Amino acid sequence: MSFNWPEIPFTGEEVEEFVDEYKIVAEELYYNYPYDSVDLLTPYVNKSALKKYLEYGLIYAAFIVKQRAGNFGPGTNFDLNNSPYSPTDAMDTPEKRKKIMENLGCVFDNGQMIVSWQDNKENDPSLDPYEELSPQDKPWIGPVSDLLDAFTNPGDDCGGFYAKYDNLNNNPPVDADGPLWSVILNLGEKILGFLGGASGYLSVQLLRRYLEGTGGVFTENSYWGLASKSGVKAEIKSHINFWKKNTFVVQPLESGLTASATWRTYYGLSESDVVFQVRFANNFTLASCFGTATVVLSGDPVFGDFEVKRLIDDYDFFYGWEVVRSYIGTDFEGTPINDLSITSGSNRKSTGNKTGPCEPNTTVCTAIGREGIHWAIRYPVAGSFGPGCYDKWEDHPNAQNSGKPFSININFANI
Amino acid sequence: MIKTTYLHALNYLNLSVEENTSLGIGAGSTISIGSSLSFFDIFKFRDPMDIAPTGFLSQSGFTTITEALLNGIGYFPSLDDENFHVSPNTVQGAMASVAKAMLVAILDDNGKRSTTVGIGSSRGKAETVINTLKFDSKRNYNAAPYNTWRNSVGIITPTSISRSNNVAIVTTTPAHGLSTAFDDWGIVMKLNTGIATSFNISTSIYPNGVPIKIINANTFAYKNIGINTLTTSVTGTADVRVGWGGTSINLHLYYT
Repeated sequence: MSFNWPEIPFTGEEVEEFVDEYKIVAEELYYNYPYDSVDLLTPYVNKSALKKYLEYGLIYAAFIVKQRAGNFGPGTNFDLNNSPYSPTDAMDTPEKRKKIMENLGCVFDNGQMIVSWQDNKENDPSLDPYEELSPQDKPWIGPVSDLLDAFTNPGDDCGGFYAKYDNLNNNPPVDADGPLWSVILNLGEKILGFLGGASGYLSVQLLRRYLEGTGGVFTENSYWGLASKSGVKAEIKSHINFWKKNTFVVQPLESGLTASATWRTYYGLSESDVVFQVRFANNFTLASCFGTATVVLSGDPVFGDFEVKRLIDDYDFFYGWEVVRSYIGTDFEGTPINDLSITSGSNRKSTGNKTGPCEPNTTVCTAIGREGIHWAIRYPVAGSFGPGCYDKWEDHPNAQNSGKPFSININFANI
Repeated sequence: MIKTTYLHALNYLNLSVEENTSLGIGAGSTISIGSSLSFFDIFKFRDPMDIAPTGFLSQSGFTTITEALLNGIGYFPSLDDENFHVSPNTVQGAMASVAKAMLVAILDDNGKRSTTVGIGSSRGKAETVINTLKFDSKRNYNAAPYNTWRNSVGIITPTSISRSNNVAIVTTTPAHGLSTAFDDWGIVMKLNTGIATSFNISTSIYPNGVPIKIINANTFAYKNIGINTLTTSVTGTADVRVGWGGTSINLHLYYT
């Protein structure tokens, strides 16, 4: 999917050099530069949206260079005849012009029309040919709006969410965390289903399994809820295909020829299989499922088509519980987890490392480690654990309700 | 297919969407309806001083709920996603923020007053873009653009100040020395006592200060909301900053 660069209506040596470099940097950023999208402010995490920003932002960036250069030609000193838009692709059909008129409210008063423009765009997305967001159409909107204050203003001790939840339900404070995260997950399943399809549904199912403390190994035969197995498999393949030439995202680990006998046996590797470590950081719903995982493919994706045969991971959280693997014998990701290998996550350790000493004064908010943004999605895990830090899972006074990691070993070969 | 309202936003049509009243930045928009529909519009950066990216900008309605939810879970939809309607203001603000990030990454001198493509690899420039767009606690403040963007470029000494209709007028002694060849000056006002402190600028809200308009060699003005105040002698300093520009970054648009 290549860039659709706009025509630049400004001229001059400075502008031309800038535009050339802009396109090179944009393509490096979009196609080659690996980064953790979760570190970005939310409006920038979606790569396809980021691509649009890069494409459309070029004209204004070039305009600033033109203004600074101050040389002769279109773009300098506000000559309206040099406007880059006349007409635009936003106004080039009767339907699009009608949209503008609708948003303006057709009051034919300059001030009123500007107010209407802003209000209509904000309040009534149905003016676009898409379904209106209403409580009837999307029942999760109502409960979510009730909880928004707590989502966005958790307070220093993250207690605001509980208070809001209790007020909503007119109940005394709850002792167990189950009902609270259950509410969030029920909402989340609807939301993430809309957002991410198969992997969106699976992400909620995996989180529910963690919070229910089921433990064990999640496989292709486990309960997948509303998630389609073939859909998840297709999403993983699509992600790998996009990033296959980027070794930061799709990093070769082993092949069927070089893997240890233990690996070959445990994962059923054939000689032609290849094993990659795959980061899903640029894919919100897959990242919510797996983060970084080991994936077995039928062949190297750089050299041709391939099949996703197996995915291996440990499902744990640095703001909840984490698993420490010894990598001795069969103690590696995807194999059953010994409870004694479960320890508090690295955000609860004084050194920031899961093998480091516990920081007992850890609060839920410090464990979450985010400033408002991305807060809600981490709350069920960090909140169910509660404050504090424990070297072993069984040391937690309410271990069974504090969440529990499990391993993931999905054989996609027959899906 | 991308939503029409987003297309308008990405084509800079805003009708004062980018207006930032707290900074005194207003766009001049005119609509003309005769035998055809015409717009005269101006696009400029919402914050003409700083480099930090904008977040969600919706202010009312279901869009606000949607955006708060998306912010809570850290997800942003594709612009052609039919299930979520984020504000066109958000889309336009994000585009402008990316344009800023590209300018500082590509031009030398951290993108300030420069038209020269800087040396360095495209990988390094891409890294600067990403660092610009990170949220606060994830930024590398020892790397571009944050390592130098908010640097002071001088200190001037206000000796008196007044406020009328939310505009502060500052007199300096000696002359402030700011060249009128540039309209990208800004200040962080740090006055010492009494009512004078109501003129101060918080860097937690405006990390690179607020834009000023130079009146003459000894006076300048800036937007400052508060009660009308007669000219008052003051002590303190004004920390001078450089941003993107005033009217020189107004992209005048004519849609018809």
